[in-house]
Amino acid sequence: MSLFHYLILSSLVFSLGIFGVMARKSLIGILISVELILNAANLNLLALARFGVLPSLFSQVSVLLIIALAAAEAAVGLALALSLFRTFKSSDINLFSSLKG
Amino acid sequence: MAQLSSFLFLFFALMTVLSAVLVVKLKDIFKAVLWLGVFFFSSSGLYFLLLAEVPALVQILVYVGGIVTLFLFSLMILPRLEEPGNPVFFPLIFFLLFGALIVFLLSKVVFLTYFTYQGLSLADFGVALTENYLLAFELMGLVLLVSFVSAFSILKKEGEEES
Repeated sequence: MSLFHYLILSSLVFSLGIFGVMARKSLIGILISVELILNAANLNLLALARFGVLPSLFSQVSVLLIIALAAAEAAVGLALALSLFRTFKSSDINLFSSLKG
Repeated sequence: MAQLSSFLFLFFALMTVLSAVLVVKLKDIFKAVLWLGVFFFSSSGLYFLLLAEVPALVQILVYVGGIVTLFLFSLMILPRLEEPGNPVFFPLIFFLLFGALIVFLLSKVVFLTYFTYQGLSLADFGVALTENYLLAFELMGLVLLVSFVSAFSILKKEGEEES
């Protein structure tokens, strides 16, 4: 399989994640769509490292860092979701408009 | 051998795309999170095919073991939100636009690179993580610590602050 197939696949997953961020209505749905986007980025990095010009471990290390950042993002995002639910008694993002100007 | 790897690629790619579509489109968000686990497994299979064993294993450990479980637990706390007919037209437009743009840009990348690879072992990975990329590794730990502390402090109830 060539690099092209991997890049097509990762762009497909990335745009599905964008779709999910825009179409989902609940906070958890948006967070899991963001996870899809991060995974597409990981796949892209690894494919470019496998087929790229210079064999280097930089992409594998950065994939590790992205995974850790995704864990941090999920933790903070879920904490925010729970505290928003405590305030608004719902997890519908269309209600969370009190910061709107 | 090449036939086997291309068959595996097709299998994992189909699984990845199918489960990603289900994650995005399923109405019941509990099932969507379960399909997210399938998505992580199949993309970790793709990482194995790309000869990146460490990210593949870390993917299974952290994502399937940690993040999916975290999502499931928080779904048990939050109430179930039905998703009735949310408008799908604009997200669909963005999906098509982003997809076309990214495919175009990445197809440029393919013609700019050529294909070489020499194997890198697990020991190389460990050495690189603790020598060349030590600063990034330590910063990652700091970011994780700060984010977990901030998650706890967000979730603290108002009355419990003074001690």
